[in-house]
Amino acid sequence: MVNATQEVIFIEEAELFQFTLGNGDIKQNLWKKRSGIQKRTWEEGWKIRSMECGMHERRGQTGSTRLSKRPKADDRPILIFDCGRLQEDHASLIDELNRWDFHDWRLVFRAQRSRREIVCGGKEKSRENRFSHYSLRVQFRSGPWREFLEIGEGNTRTMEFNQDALIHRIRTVAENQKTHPGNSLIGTLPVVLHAGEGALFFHEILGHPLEGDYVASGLSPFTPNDLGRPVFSEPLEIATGDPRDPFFADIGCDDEGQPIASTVLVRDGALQSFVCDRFHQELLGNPQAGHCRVEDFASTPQPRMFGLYLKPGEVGFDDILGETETGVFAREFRDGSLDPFTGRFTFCAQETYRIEKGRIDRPLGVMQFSGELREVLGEIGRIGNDFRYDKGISFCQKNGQVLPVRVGQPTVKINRLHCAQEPHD
Amino acid sequence: MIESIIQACGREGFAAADVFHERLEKKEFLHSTARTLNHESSGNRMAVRAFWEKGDPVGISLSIPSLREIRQALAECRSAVHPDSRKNIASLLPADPGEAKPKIFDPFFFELGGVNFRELTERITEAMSSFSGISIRNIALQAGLRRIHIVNSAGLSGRYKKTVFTISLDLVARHHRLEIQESRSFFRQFQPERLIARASNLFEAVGEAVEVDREAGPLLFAPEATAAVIRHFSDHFRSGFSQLQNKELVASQQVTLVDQPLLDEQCGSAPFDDEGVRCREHILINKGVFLSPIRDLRSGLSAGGSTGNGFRAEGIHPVVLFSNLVIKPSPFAFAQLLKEAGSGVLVVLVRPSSPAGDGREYNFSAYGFRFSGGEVGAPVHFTFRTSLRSFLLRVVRVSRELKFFLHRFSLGTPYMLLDGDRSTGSADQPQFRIQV
Repeated sequence: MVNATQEVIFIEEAELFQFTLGNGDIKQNLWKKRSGIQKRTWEEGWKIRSMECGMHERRGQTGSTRLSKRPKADDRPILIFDCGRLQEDHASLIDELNRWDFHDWRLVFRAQRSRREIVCGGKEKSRENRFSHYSLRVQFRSGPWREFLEIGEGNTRTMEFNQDALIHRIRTVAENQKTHPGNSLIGTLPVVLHAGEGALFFHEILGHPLEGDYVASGLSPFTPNDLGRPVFSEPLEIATGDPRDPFFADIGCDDEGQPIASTVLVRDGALQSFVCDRFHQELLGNPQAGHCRVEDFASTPQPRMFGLYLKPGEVGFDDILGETETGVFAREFRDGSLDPFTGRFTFCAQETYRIEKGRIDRPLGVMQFSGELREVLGEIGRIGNDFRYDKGISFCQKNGQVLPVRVGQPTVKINRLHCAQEPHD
Repeated sequence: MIESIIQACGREGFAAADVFHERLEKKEFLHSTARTLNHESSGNRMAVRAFWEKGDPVGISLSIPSLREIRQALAECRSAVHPDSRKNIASLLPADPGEAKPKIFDPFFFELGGVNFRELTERITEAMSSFSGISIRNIALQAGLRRIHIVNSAGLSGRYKKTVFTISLDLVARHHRLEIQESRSFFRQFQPERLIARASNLFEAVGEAVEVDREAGPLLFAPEATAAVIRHFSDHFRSGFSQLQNKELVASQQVTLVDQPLLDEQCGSAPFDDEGVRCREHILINKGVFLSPIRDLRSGLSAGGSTGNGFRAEGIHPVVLFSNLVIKPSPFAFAQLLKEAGSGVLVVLVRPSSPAGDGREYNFSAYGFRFSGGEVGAPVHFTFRTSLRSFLLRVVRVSRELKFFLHRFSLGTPYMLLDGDRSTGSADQPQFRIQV
């Protein structure tokens, strides 16, 4: 019998502002505010009741005496930005986009914040959980039939972004798409993943299969019997927390009131833990919980990652490149997916280069990588010493819920990965 | 209250406004090997668009109809959002939502509870016993009731309510996993036994399939496979995305494609769209000729007005979306198509794979069964590459059996018999190309 079934009351107030600017006469703004409560109890199964309502209704609905009697006033100004000012301040970025012959482009400014109050169990005080996120996404495509390429930047503090860096990245990604027919590439090759967003690869192929609900349902290639056993060929260390990373620093707890766990998933290449909420922690006998997340008060809680970080190794980036006779270097990434049951995955990079004789060579554009989970874990070759965090705009979708996530890694070389270049004009 | 919001917009200096009020009730039931779950939720969304004389509107959404908060937000937006001189839809807001009343509300929603879910689970489990080797990982049932009320400054006030029930099954068999889903407007429309039979059919195609790179004979796409291809290319029929030219020949004469919002008992139906424009049938392709894309008020500004396809999904501002996109069926039964084809491949499952060429074409992975002399034979797997035009121009016949699938929008497709050119490919290239 699982004991992690105390009542959880979850109250949320969330605000979102978005301003979209694009060519082809596109200009749109919106401001959204939502609030509501969720109450979860265990009665031979989870029973969840969610209600969208105002602040004055919430506390009465819960019947809890442990919630703060008077909600703390939110003295922050309403989250609406001057759209004209945003447009003026980013004129150089807009000029850069207009300089290229893109069929479509978009700038999406987004600011969101949420405040959550959570009570877990009848005797505990409530905990508060706050998160703010500001981002600028730049989306562009060269033709009407092409998928959008996207670069962007995000942080948890301010609506200010490094425009010079964004302009540089637009240029490199756009130039990277100019490949020649002779550059076409399909085959199994070494792939070097750039530091930072390259960790999205591990988020997909390792993070998701380790989530407690997949493991408990038998949909993951991993089982509790795998704990303690080597899964990687290299002595990797992968954890879900990094005390130096400020990204989730203002979040005091997960969405069932548990302290956010910095869980070591892999140490010395061996599996140590799963990503669990309290229910799955007890069900699987996992060492830690602290990974219960919901998109909002109306969503069903699931075990989800906050962050995923690879500990750096000792090899320099130039050494990793230098010892690669031929291969692919991937710098900017798009999305990926994994079927946890079969272990088959695909992962997309939108800026890639050929590696020839240890040097970055000609551009290859958008590349799709695919393979099988258990095989690729045995193909991790080299771990660099140049750790970086992602650019702050990583999001993850699972069962219809979209959440911000964070990743970080040094440069990583995978010895063998199936590569298929997407065709170009 | 909603009328007060319209008045508040006027007092803040806006020329026009509309308010979209949606109350949502959801019931979710989940049974998996690890846990059971019962989640009831209620949502309340009020989306306000306030228009100046010209330029883009301000968009505001709140959980509760608080006039004070809306006034505050309008005042902030008034200083933050600078209207320009572009023409907008302020003067085009509809005044009358019309009289149409498609049957889309099932009162059984209120009675639906854990008992019904347990009965459904038992029926599914019992149906599974006829198909060995398949096991269930998750069974989920979602039921949603939406109550919509739209008001605008042109005097429109329209209401309706709508139910959608969805069963999702997560199944495994023969080292394969399949997630299948079925959505219906009325709970009684579910037939779990047929859902399991469909799953079994798909597993057989996927689990036992032999790779083929040379194949003689036509391709007969089952409704689910047709839907996968049409859905992938559906942006071609939406204003703002479509590159098709009006009066362009894009399909064979057998193909007529229609957006039909007033069908009874279909998940995509509605009496009016989320801007209050009356929904009406819109013919996209008539006997192979493309007529015009679907439009909302904004995209219809310069192109003949809205077709009643402005829907809001999760957002404040509408986007152009289908209601029920339907390939018009013919009088011919599936058996007649089999006979006409003689022999070929019945394609039952299609998965989009990757872009091809300049992006107009796409690679797909297909699973199906050989057929000959009216008999269905061994399962096969192949990849094919096609564009929308190539696919539709090769249609030789459509059937009368129409099935509906819901994923972002409702899509109704029959069996479609295609005559395709064959070209062999290498291991990494699509093995088959449908081209004109």
